[in-house]
Amino acid sequence: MVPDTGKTLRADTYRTVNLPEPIEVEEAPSSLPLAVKAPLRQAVADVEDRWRIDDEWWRREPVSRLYYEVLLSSGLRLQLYKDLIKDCWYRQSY
Amino acid sequence: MKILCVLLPHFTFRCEVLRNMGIDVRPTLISYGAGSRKLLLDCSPGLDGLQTDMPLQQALSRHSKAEILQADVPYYWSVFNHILDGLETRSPLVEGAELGTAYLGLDGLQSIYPDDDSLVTAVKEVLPETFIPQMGIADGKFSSYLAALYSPPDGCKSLNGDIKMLLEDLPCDVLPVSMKSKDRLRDFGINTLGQLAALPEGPLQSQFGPEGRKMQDLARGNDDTPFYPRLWEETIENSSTLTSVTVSLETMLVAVDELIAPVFARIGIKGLGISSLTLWTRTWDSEHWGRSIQFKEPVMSTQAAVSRIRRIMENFHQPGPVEELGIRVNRLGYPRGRQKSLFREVRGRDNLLEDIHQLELRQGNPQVFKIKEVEPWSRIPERRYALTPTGR
Repeated sequence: MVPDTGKTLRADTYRTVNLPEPIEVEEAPSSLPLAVKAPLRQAVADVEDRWRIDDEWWRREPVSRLYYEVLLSSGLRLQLYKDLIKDCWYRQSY
Repeated sequence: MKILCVLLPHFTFRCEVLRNMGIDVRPTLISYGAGSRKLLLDCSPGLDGLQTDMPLQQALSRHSKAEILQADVPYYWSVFNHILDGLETRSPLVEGAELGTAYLGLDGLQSIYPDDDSLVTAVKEVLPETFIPQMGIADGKFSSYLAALYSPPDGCKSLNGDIKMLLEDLPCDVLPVSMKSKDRLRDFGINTLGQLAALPEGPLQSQFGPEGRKMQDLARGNDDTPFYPRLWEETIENSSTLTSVTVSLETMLVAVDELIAPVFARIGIKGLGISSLTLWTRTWDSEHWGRSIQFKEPVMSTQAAVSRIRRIMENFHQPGPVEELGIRVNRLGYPRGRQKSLFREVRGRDNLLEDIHQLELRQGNPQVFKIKEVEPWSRIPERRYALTPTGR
């Protein structure tokens, strides 16, 4: 395990782009997203794609995500993922 | 010239104790890499049969239960430089020869420190308590070093007059020469300085070259080692932890760019450029890598500096995945001649950058950013791009 150096990046010089945003998602018992609050509640009409990434397993906070590309009832297309370690949902374009 | 040698035994180990008190009670070995070999830099006090620069395997065979730490050389130097700063308040002439060994020129200080005791007390006051100094006063660097080496812990020894008699029985290990030369002396059956001094000059020089001459001069008590007090120079240090460990040169160069750009923001207004810098990295398993880079003509822009650093990093590979990197700008200089660009679009770009810089100064923080590719191949979307301030 790589120890955390405890050092923060200089926030004024280096900013990350495309950070994940937390989002409220209703899940089916099978863990598939049923509805999304974005910002109003909208049902998921179709799950068009699904993929998983596992990375940085050697760090203190490994990455394990299950991504979904969903079509909402309003016709809006969204990319979401479920953080399998923290058990919460985020919105992020892949 | 009268010189005081301040010896800080087990300096690097004590530096590690400063940041982790726990290791003080555990047997510890501090190792560093030389090419593919791992060598011993220092160890806990009281571990027998160990010597600096001996192979780590050899050290481990003698103390198999010892904990191994990777040497963090930049950290040791920063601690040592603080100590040298403190010593400069006692004498204006201070030389930091190597980690844990400092020399102070004492000529002209008699009115401030009338005797050795008052000088020693004043020097002890500026040393951190973790270090237990051994001090020696003599007329040359080597003899003051010997005096310090044989002084009691936390004490001082003075050597006056002819030291030839004293040198005779000392082992050759006290000579300030490479481990290889010491081993060869041992192979030839030369164990004491007296034996070395008695040898004819010719054969010794043919075996050891210029180092042979130096060894013999020191063994005969002729110490003409020059004293080089450190010069005041402005140094700028900057370091950064990467968002994730990487072996990618491009990612490291983005970080280098980010470290160098603020340096130019600071010195560019004065018309200065970078003449010399040291680049260092630390891998995820705490291994250290460092290179000193000299510029024939001071570089005046981040791009020029990064392009040279790229060539260095391409030729000298990292020992492992890098987690942290930093720069230390050692020397600044003025360019010999500088001309504004002939082309309008280049001048236009320079003007735009100047306006952005002014805006940043007025608002107090960066206002205009550009997108840079960091790890465009990463599977984690937020790792692929970063926003960095424009115009730095």
